[in-house]
Amino acid sequence: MKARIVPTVIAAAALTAGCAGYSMQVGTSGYDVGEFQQVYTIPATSLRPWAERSRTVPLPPPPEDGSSGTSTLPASRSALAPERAAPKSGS
Amino acid sequence: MHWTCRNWLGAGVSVALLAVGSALAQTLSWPPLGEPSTGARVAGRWLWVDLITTDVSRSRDFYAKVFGWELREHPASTGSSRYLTIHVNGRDIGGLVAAPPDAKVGARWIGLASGDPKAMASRAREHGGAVVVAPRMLAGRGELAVLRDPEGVHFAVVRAEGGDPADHVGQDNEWLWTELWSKDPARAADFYRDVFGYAVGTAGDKASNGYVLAAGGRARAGIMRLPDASLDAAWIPYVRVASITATVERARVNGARVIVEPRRHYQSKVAVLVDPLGAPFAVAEWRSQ
Repeated sequence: MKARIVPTVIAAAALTAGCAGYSMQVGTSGYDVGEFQQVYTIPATSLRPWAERSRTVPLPPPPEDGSSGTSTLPASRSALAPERAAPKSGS
Repeated sequence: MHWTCRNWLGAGVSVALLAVGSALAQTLSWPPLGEPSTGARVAGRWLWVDLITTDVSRSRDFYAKVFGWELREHPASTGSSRYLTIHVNGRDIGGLVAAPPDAKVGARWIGLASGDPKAMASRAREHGGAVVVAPRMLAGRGELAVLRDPEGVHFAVVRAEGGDPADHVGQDNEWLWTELWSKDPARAADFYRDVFGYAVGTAGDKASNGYVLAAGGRARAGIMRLPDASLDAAWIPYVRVASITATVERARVNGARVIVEPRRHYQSKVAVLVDPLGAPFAVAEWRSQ
């Protein structure tokens, strides 16, 4: 009798643990494996003007301060986060 | 106790079930946000960018050719729901996600900024934005909400598991900057300041009507006036490149449209393109002062 009960208990425990891992993950993510895209829902109407764009945009002449007038990218190095340290040679 | 062949078989099946359960738990995780977490968080710092596209394979081929990105299929990808991670310079910096099946042809980059999704969803609502996906835990990634600003532009807020990755400017073929092209830059600056707590400064001269959003003592993003009213407002991520001429040419050959030809910008050069599926992005050959 014992010989039958023990493997049955092991099977039940393993199945429970396996399914618990699965359920926890699904419960945590809130999405199943087939639904990555459901986190991002973009209305098709907002995509169309960009998708259909084929010509350059009208731009003002560049300002005299040296900027392009079309970008906010900072000119100063110190405005942005630091560069990564170069990897040590031989490592 | 004597185990029969059937007992051993039962135990074997149990172990297999445990393994399958564990494997499923593993594969359902979202890709983590790049490098190991630091434990620190800077609200408003952009950590990751995902491309939503109706044709993952075509987008993959385009970006692999233009930037040399290695696009890795996530283990949980399926035929209709794919997620590819962008791997470059030894790290993951973003992803390509299949758009819902009913979406029309198109693509759009969506940035994920660090922050408290619940608090920022609430602030977004208060200041004229909307919550597209309510805050929820995504295994492997952290708590995330997808929000919409008053002009309808999507962005995401994420509280990364363990904190933000290390704070470094991107190397070649990595993200350098991100910029909102808005029909009303002043209003947009107010909105993002109210949501993330940014310090807002001006960019360029008065005519360009641009703003820089700073957090944690660093510039994190910009806002500039949309130069053509027929386009919708959009966040445009910048990729740092070694040669803007060569990159723009590669992009053009592979189906991109150039909407701002390479232009001098202080010591740097910038250009804005639209990828073959319609997602706007910028490239910058950056030389700092």
